[in-house]
Amino acid sequence: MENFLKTLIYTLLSFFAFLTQAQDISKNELPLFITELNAGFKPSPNGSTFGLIADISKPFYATKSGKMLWSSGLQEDFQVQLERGFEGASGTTVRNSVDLILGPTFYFLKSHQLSASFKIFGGWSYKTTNGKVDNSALNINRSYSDSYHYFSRGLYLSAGYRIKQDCFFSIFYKADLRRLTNGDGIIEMPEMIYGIGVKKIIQRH
Amino acid sequence: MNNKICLFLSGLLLFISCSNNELENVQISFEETITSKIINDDYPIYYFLPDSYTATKRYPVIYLLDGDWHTKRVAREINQLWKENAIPECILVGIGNANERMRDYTYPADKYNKGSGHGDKYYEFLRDELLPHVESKYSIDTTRRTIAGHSLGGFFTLYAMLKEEKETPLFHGFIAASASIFWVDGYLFGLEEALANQSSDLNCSLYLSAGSDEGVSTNVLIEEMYERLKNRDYPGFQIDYNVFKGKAHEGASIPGFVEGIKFNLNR
Repeated sequence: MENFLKTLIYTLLSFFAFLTQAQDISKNELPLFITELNAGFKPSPNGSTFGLIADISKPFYATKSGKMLWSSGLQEDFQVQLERGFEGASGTTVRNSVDLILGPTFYFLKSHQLSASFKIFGGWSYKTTNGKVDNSALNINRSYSDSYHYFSRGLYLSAGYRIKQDCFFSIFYKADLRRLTNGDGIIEMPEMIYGIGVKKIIQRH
Repeated sequence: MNNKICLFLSGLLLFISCSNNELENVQISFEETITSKIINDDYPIYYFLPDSYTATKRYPVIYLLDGDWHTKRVAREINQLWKENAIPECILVGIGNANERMRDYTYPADKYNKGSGHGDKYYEFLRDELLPHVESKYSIDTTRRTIAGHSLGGFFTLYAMLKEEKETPLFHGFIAASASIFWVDGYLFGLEEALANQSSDLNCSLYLSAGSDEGVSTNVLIEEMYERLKNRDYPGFQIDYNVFKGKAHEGASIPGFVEGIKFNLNR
């Protein structure tokens, strides 16, 4: 429960921080698309996860004050976990998911250098694990494989720094919250991945 | 604008806080703290008893490790199992102080985990201090003691099973959910082999479980331990093993306890 609350609090704080800092943008400056390509990493005692996340969003609404853009889009998330943690163990877990994303995107096209995104997503994920333990000292030579699919849901945060016109270097944090299943303290950690990427805003010209 | 933000946040909260609280809530019957002279530390102890508890009857008992975390949820599950007549009435004893689980549930010490490796002392604490205390307090069938643990707790459960005196066993049922068998390069495999060399029988029952999504080095080693023990063909030994689909390490704990309790209490 504690981890869930921390994630939630950080998320909401980030949301309000970006909201209050946003600058005006007029409605006729709605971008055509916002595209992102991110590469991420999650260190873990049992294995580190590397991931590629591609995301294309279509902004469809700006507030009157222009502080916030609502966008929707599709996200493709491909993650590979390379296992370690026991001598003789090697394995990979591949997760592929396609998610529908929805959420506000904040960005500053004129004189400011920063962009920020906050999105929630839900979609279909397929996960497969393959690996083996080959440990001669313990006389273990055994393989393991398993696969399943599930409904993913979670949060996605990114912050970008402009490196050229309409193009941002970004850092991101993605949490798949599918494992937060009950209120009794028996809670799985959300699957989180942190990373860097490039965000390209496609404008009308 | 503010309304839209509120609406959005409400939807978000609903989205991420979906829960499956389908079980009836229960209250822990009694809590106390006992001090171990052997370990020189305090242990909160949580008791869950049937409403119809009477001292004239002897009850099977489940000693649950990491009791701070698991007792309430397991009590709810047990309550449901009673309603379904799936298990006999029993007493649940959750043993707290989970902050020291690395010290208490492991053996031998791991060089990368300072302060670990005092599982032998913890077993002495159970044998010489906790169990006599609990069993002087409640009416317990001392031939039907089960110990249940998850992760490092699962490791300790297996350690206790493999290590304890076979003529005077402390426990008769064991539940090892997602046991950390990788501890110190698979130390438990050596214990298992030593046991097989010393004894031709093992009079107890063991339930092993894992989540399908725990990773190769966890799942493979649990599976290997299951097969090694099963292939010994100990006449008095009952063993079962289950993998919970789509569950990772934490999520596999409660299903492992529930199935393990059913397995051990109905044998």
